Amino acid sequence: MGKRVCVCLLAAILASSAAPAGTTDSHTVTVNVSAINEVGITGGNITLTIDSATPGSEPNDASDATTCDLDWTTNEASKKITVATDLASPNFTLKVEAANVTGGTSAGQVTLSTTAQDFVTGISTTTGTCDLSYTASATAADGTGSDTHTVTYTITASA
Amino acid sequence: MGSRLVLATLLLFTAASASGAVDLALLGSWAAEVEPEGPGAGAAGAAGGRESSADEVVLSIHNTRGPNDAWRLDVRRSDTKWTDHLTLWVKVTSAGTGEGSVNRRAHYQEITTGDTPLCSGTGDRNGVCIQLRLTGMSPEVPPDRYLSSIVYTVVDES
Repeated sequence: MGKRVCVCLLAAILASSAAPAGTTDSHTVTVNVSAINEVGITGGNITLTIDSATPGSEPNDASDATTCDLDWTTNEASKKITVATDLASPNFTLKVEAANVTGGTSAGQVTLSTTAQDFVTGISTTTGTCDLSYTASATAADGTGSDTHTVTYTITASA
Repeated sequence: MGSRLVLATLLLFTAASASGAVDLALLGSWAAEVEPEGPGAGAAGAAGGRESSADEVVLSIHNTRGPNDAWRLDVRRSDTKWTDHLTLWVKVTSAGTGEGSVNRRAHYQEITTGDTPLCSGTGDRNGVCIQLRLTGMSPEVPPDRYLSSIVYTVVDES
């Protein structure tokens, strides 16, 4: 009697498709922000001429408030701008005032000297601008002549 | 009487799709310096942003299952030290080379702290170039060193 062997081998390998795979990689972005304290003048040099007077009165002042602007930028807190001249013994009086100030507070009209004086205060993490309003005055006793000033504006820490 | 052995072997083998993941590798990093540029211009110039080179970061995508194997590239930011004043932007400037293709936008998109699709494509690609841009600089951003990791994730979309 025969023997019949039937071997059925069924092998099915069904692999499920892999779940969506993701790989990552990264890089760094570094932003270095330095302390920024910048002040600059636009408009150039100014000439003020005192050449008239009302009879019986001292000579008329000469002024200019439109030629020059002062601009500044700081990303630090508690700053101010000071002003000074290099002329130690002027023949005539020169004053300057910050007008139409943004990004600070005008310290009012300043009589220029070689000692740095507050010009704009209350500056913190801001940009700002102002008009430079100069006024030159002379008395009859001062006589004639000319003064040449180099006026310097400095942004510095508030006291 | 001989025996007859019938051996029927039916072997059905379905090759499983490879469980290996699509791989991503990148090269590059970016350091943006913000330094004094002059009054007024310091704020305006900084606000105009800093931009890296067009190939500051170069990616390669490999181990796909062929030129028609679709994938998606996501991007996000992982901050170490950051400020909300600053915004990072990214764009793909070159689709690179290789089988398949890359679909990319022509403009920058913002990098947020959540995964956002940057581009999509198929197949292996080499030399996919990335450009970065930084905006938001202003005097209100204190001097400091800000650091963030840009994380790219490739997702197999097959």
